[in-house]
Amino acid sequence: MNAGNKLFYWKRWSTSIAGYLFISPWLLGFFLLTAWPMIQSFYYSFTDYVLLDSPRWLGFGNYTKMFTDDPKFIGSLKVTLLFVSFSVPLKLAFALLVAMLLNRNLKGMSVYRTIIYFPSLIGASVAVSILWSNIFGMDGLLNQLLGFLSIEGKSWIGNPDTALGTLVLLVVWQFGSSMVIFLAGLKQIPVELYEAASMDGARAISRFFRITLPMLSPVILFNLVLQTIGSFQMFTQAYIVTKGGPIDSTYMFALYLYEKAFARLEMGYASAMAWVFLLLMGAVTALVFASSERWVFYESEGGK
Amino acid sequence: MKKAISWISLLIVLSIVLAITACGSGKPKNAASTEESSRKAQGGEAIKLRIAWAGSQARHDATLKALDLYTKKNPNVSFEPEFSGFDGYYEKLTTQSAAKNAPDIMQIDTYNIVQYASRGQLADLSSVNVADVDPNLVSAGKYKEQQVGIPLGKNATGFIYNKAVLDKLGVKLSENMTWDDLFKLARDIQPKLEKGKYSLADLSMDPDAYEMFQLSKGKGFAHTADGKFNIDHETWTEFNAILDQLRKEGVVPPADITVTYKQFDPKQDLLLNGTVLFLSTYAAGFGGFDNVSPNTFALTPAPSGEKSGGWLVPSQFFTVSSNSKHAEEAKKFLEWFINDTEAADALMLSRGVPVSAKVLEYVSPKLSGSDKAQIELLDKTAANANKFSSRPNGYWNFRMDFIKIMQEVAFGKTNPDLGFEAAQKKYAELIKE
Repeated sequence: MNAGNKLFYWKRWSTSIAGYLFISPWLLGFFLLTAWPMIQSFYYSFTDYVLLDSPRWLGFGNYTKMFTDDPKFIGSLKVTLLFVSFSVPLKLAFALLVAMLLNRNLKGMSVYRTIIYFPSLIGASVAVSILWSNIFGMDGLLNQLLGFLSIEGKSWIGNPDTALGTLVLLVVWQFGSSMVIFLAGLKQIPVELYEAASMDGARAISRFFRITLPMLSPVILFNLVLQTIGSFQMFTQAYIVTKGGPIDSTYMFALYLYEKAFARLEMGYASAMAWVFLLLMGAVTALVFASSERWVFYESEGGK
Repeated sequence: MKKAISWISLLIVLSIVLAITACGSGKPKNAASTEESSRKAQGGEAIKLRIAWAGSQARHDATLKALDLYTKKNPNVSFEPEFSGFDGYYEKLTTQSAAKNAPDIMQIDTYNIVQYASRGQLADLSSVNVADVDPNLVSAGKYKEQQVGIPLGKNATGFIYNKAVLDKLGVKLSENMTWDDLFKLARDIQPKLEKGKYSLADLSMDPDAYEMFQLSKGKGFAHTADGKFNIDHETWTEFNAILDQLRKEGVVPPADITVTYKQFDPKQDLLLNGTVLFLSTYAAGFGGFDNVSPNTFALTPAPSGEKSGGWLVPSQFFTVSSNSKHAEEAKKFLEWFINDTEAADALMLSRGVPVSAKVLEYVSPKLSGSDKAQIELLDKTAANANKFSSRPNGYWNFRMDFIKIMQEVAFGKTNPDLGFEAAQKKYAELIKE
């Protein structure tokens, strides 16, 4: 009895050893490259740490300065929140629209899908960001098009009122990954539901709101969380297209963090910012999840 | 039985992994060692110097040519160049230095040499031979009496303008142009230009142009020689009022066009793409413009007022990282770089006018038109140049924020008075002893 028990435990243990060994490269990476730097940055966030000197303990100094004496911090937070609250819904709506268009049985649909997905493959790259600044510049494509309609364009990227808008457009244009997920979700919705609804005389709009949206809501939640987090971390496009300008109108939180850390080497302050940022993103994500109970519908739960 | 299989498979995986990594690391090692031995045969230990600089394509080409030449003469020394435009250059350099991974040789300018030196990032270069170099330039590369930077070129501030267009309009610049002359000229030219073209760049977002303006009023640089805040409130107000008026008249571009300026980018540099005719510049930058469209541009000294508006500066320094393992070799290279005539043949005026009097004499007969333009600007400025003192520690950061403040004023998001206060506050916050 006793021996059998021992063998049982050994067996359990030995199988998990093999498992851990198999994932050990990942574990090593996680502890050395993710967990340890996080612990370090948590410590640094309470210090005045200019990379080349040793850190000096400050207590909550960095955090109090951030909220009481740093207009740039508040400014960049506002810009980021504004960006997130516009880019995420727009991107999701657009992705859903395209997914519905692509969810038809047309000849050569897979070719369309590939073509439409393509911008997302290259969208976050530096080259596209440079392209973007040429499209929305004074002599850019957009103004030339507007010229045909005899509308006088302006420097969309150079103007503080429109610069953020061009960045929102840029990320909305990269709808591909959300679109693919939506498409997969749409394919899961049983066709019988639509057939039954049509027979009952439901029009397209009410089919969309009564069938598509509820059935798709778990996928929407997934995309929403993913895109919200991604949107908060917006960096490349803002850095290359506008450099945070003009006059800080696109100065995202991640840009400010980058500037503090790598242009000014204030690692302590930058670490504190990163932690505030993490908490903020965590809070927003938690909010999304909390709200999901009200609008996400799981088939397995049955109707509510 | 099952257990045995899982262990066997684990072993197989492990052995494959080991085999792959062994292959991976084996090859380059062999390659490196043969290279090394061939170098050793030619004398001296093989050394690779990492060298970083920023600038225009013309400068990149010239510098690479010089590096090749040096390797040919000293086969044991090879280079790993890291070069780019000024955009993002310093961010990269600070990151590398912070990671103790700075290049052996780094190009740094007057704005941040103090910052690097005060952090102990720069090696002592006192042993480099600078006998033929103007003592003023040499001393600009000192920090607390220690030589930390070797000046690479003589430079002067001034204006660059589109001579081709001005010639077509039949406009000739006067020899000693004052600010009033410049503004009047700009207003006179404007009606003759087509829509979307402007005679003058919006100087209200250009800290160098502002300093030229303040100097010409006899009010000194934006900081005193001992590093105190020195932007004159009255001059600042006047400067902004003038440019605001010019902006309203359409003589300088709207603010949203000015902020898209990207130096040397053929599409986004407002001078290169023909949007403006006048722009402030440093002499050493001239090659970068001239390279993109030859025989189009010309230089003119900083406009004057009661006093001269121009000054002379070392264009750039080469410094050696204090972490460099090959500091001695790096110093030898720097000595060659500024003193050797063959190096000068490759470099010409890619970093401003050569600092060594002997080298300058040597290259003088070989100069092209654009080189001569630089030297001419230097000579004209030198006559009554303002005495330049090194920028205080932290000035680079202040300059970045100052530009933002200037933009806020230009966009009308704040007024010049509040902008002045903001600049004063930033200065107090960022400039360290």
